[in-house]
Amino acid sequence: MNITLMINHSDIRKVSKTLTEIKTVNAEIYETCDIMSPRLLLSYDNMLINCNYFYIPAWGKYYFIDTIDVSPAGKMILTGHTDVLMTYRDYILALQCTVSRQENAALSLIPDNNIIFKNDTIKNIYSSETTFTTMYGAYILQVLGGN
Amino acid sequence: MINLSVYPDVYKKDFTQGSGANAQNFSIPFTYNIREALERNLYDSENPFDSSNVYTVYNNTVENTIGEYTLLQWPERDNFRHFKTEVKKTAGKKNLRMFFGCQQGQNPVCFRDVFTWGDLGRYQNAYKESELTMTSSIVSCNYDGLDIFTRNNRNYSLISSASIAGSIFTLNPITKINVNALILMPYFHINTRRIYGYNSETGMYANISSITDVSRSWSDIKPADNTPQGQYYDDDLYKYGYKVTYGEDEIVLQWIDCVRIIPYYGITDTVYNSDTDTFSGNTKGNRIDFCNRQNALDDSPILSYNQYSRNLRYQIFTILTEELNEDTGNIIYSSIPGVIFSDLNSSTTGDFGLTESITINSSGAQITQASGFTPLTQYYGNRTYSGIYGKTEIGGNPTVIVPCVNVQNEYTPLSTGFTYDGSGHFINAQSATRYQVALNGYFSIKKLWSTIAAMGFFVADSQVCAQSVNLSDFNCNRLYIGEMLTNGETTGNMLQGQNIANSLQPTIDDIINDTPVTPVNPLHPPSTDGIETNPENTGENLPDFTSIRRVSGNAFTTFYDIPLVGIEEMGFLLSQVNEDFWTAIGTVTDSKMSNILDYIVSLKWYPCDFADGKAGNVIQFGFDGNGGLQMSSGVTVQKLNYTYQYFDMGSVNVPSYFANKTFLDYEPFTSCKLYMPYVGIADVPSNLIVGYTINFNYIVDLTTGMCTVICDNGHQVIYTGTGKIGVDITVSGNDIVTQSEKLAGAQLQSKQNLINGIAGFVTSSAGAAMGNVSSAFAAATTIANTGIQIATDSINIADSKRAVPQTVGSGSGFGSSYNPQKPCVIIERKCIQIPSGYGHNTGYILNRFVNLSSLSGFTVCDNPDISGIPADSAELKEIFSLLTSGIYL
Repeated sequence: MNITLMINHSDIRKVSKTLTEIKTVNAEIYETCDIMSPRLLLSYDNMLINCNYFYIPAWGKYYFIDTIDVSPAGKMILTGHTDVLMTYRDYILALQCTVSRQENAALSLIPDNNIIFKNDTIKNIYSSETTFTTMYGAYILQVLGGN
Repeated sequence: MINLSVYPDVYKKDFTQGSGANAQNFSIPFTYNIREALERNLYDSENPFDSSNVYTVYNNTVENTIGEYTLLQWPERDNFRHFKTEVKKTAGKKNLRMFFGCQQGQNPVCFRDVFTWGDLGRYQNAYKESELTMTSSIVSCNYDGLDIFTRNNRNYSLISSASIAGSIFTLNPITKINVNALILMPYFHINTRRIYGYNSETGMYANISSITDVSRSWSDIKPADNTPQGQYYDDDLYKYGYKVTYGEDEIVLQWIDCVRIIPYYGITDTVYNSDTDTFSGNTKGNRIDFCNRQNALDDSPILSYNQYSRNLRYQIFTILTEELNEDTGNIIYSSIPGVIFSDLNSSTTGDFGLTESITINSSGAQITQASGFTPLTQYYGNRTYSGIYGKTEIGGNPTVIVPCVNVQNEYTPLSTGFTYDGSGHFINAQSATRYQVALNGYFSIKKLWSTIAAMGFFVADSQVCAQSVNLSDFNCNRLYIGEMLTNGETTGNMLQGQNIANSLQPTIDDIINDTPVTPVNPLHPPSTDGIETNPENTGENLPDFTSIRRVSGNAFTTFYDIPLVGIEEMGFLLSQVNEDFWTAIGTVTDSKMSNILDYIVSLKWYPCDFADGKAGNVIQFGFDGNGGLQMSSGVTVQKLNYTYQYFDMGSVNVPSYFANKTFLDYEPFTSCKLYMPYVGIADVPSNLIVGYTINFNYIVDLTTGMCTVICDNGHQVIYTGTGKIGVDITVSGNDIVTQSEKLAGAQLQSKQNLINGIAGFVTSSAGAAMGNVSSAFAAATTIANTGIQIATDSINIADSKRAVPQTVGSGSGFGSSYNPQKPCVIIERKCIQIPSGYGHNTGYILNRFVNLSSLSGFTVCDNPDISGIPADSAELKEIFSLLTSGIYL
C-alpha cells in the first residue's frame, strides 16, 4: 500500500498539524502489528530518513514515526503510532465540551491555583486628601446655661 | 383539510427588460429562518441550472436582506379573525408587505384593491415608512380572515366596497421584530414563477414569446445543497379523507394530497433577437404532478401538468379520487383528478375581480355523477378568493369539499404591457418573480403545512379552525406552530397540539415586550457560559448625612468654640481668680454663683475646625431670665449650634491592580484594610474595596467627644466604628477637690483654693507631661501661662504622648492627634510570578462549555464527551487523555 511520508513541524499535541510532504512510497506491513502502532517495510531511501510522520491513505490515519530501522537488505522498517488528533481532527474540532483551561480565552474572576506567588507582598496605600488636624485644633467649652 | 397560501413574492427589480428601462432594485424580504425554509422550495428562476446563483441576486445577497422589520400592528393571537399586520423592512428600498384578512364567515379573501399605489414608482428609491402606513383612507376594511400579500410597487384597487367595513387597520408602530417571528399565516399559497427569457449576450431579460414543449429531466434541476430529497412518506397520509354519508351510503372521500413541482421542466435555450427585441426558443414551464401517497411512493403521478407560461394559472388541484359506499362497496362517485384553472388572458382590467368567471378545464376535477345522483357542481373553490379552501363542514352533500393546494403560476404577458401576479394584482410586466417554488419530490399537503409552520407561521387545518380556534388552546391538534425561540426566531421545527403546551413558546407579547421566557430548572442553575464578569451590583445602602438630625443647642448647655485668643483670655481670667475674683468681675454677688465651676460642663480639644456656629458670642455662664443669674466672661467665642458635627473626610479611589479585575484582586490574594484616624485600622473584604471609591464620613458627638466613622463604597456601608476624638480637659468639682487635696494637703474651703484647683487641673490635664505640674500652683501667672501654652502649642501637647504611640486600634487623647490624620485604604497584594508562556503552556482558567472549533491555542478539556468519534477504544482513550491533559487547537 502507499504511504505518504512527511515531516511534522507541529507539537505532537497540535490537532491540525503543519506537515511537509516528502514522498509517497509503497510499503508493506511488516509482520503482524497493531493498526495503532504499525510496522511498515519499505525500500531504503535517503529522503525518508528525516521524516517523522506518515499517512496511510488506505486507513485514513496519520502516524508519528517512532523509529526507523534500517536493514542490510536495503530496507527500512518504520514503526509508528497513530496521531489520533490529526486523524480525527474533524471530530475533535466539532466537539462541544467544558474547557477548563485555554490559551486565548479566560474568565478572569475564577481563581487559578496554578499561579505561583512570590514570598512577598505589594502594599499600596490610597489616602484621602482630607485631613483632620489643623494648626491648633479647636477647644470646645460646654457650659451650663449660656446663650 | 388544508388551506395553504403563501406568496414568496420576491420580485426582481434590477434587471432591464427589452428596452432597458425601468431598472429596479431587488431585495428579499425574508429573514434567515424563512429564507432557509424557502430555500428548499425556491429556485433562481433566471439561473435554474446554476445552484451557485441560487439566492444570490445581483448586488443584493440574501444575507444582506436579513434585518429587522417594523411591525406596524401586531395581530391578536387569540383569534385569527381580527389580526392584521403589515411589515416592512426597516432599511432598504423594497419590502415585504403582508396583509391578512378575510371576511368573517367567508373564505379568506385577498386584501387587495384597497390601496392605490399608482404613484409609488417614484418612491422606489425612498421607501418611506409612511408609505406603508395605511392611513384613514384605507382604514375601512374589516377583513377578519387570513391571507397574505406581499407587494412591492404595485397597484391596489378596491375589490369591493361591500367588503369594506369597520376599521381594523389602525396602524401604530409597535416594535421592531424579525419578520419571521410575527406572521400568522394559516393559508399558504405557492406561487410559481413568471417566465422570462434571458439573453446571455446582453444580460437582459425579456418575456419569452415563443414556447414549445421540450422535455427536460428533473435531474437537470440543481437544488440547493440543503434541499431535502426523496419522496414524502407519511403513514398518516391516508387520514386525509372524510367519511360522509349521503343518503344511506357512507362515503369515503379521498383525494390527492401530494404535489410535486418541477421548475423549468422543459426549458431550453432561449435566444434573444436584438433586431426584433424578442426572444425565441423552446420552453415549457413548470411541471406539476399530483397524486396521493401511494402514487408518490410509486412515482406515478395521477396527474401531471406541464405548465405553459401563457395564460395558465392553476387554481386547484385534485378533489376526489373516489367515493365509496363502504356498505355496498359500490363506487358512488368517480372523479377525474384534475386541475381547475382559469384562463386569465381575457382580463385587461388590472384586476381579476369577482366577476371574472372561472373555467373548468375539461380534464378538471369534476366529479362524475354516479347513477342516481345529482352532479355536484361547487366542489371547487373560487380563485377570486386567492386560494381555495377546504371546509370541514361535511354535510349530507359533499358539495364543498375542497382540499387543495393552490398552485398559481405567474402570469406571463406576451404583447401586453401589463401582467398579473399570482394573487391577481395588477403588476408591471417589467417585474418578474425571480424565485419559484420547487418541490422536488412529493410533498403532501401536510408536509407543506408543517414546512410553513416551521417557518414561523401558525397554521390551522381549516379555515374554520383558523378563524375560531384560540391559539392559547394548546390542546387543539388542529394547529401547527413553528417552534419559536425567545428572540423571535424560529428553529425550523414544527409543534402541534400538546407539544405546544409542553414547550415554553414565548408569546408574542413576550417578544414585543422583550421579556423572553427562559425556562429554568430550579434544580439546575442556568449555565453561565458567556458571562464574563459578575453581574453588576444593584441597590444602595448608604447613609444620608444630609438628613441627620443634629440637635440644636439644648436648653441646658451651650457649646463654645473658643479661639486661640479666647483661650488666652480665659487663661488670664482664670489667673485672676482669687479672693478678689468676683470683685474683679464685678457682677456676681449672689451666692448662687459662688462656684463658677458648677457651670462648666466640659472643656475638650478637637483636632479639627468647626464650621458650625456663630461668631461674636461671649461666653456666658448660668441662666438668664427671671431669678436666674448669668455671668458674662467677656471672652469672645463662637457659639456652636449643634451637638453633633459632620465631617466629610474625603474619598479614596481604589482601582483594580490587575486589569479589568481578576481573581488576584480579591482574597486571599489581596487584602484590604481601612485606616481611620481616631478609630483605628479595620480589615474589610477586598471585594468591597477594589474597584470602588471609598468614602469616609465622621460624626463627632461634642457631648461625649466620641466620633463615629461610616465608610461606604458608593453602594453600601462597608464599615462603621467609633473612637475618641475629643480630648477631655476635665473641669469638674470633684476633680478639683481631689486635685486640691493632693496639692494643698487640706480640704479647700475658700474660693481662692477652688480657683487654684481649677487652674491646676487645667494645667495637669493639658500639660502634665510637660513636667510643670509641680510648680503649677506657684503663682497664678504660672497657671495663666500654662493655659496659654495649651492653646498655642497643641502639637507640643501631643508630643508629650509620643512615647506611647498607637499604630493599631482606636486612639484617644492627644496622642491620636499625632497619628496620621488622613483616612486611607491599605492594600496588600501577593506578588505573582507568571511566566510569559503561561497561557500557551498552562492555559488560563476558562471553564466554559464551548465548541472547540471556536478556540485556538492551548486547550484543556474537562471530562469531554467523545462518544461521537469513530475511533477504536485505544484511540478514544488516547484522545480523551490528550484532551484532558491539553492540546493545541
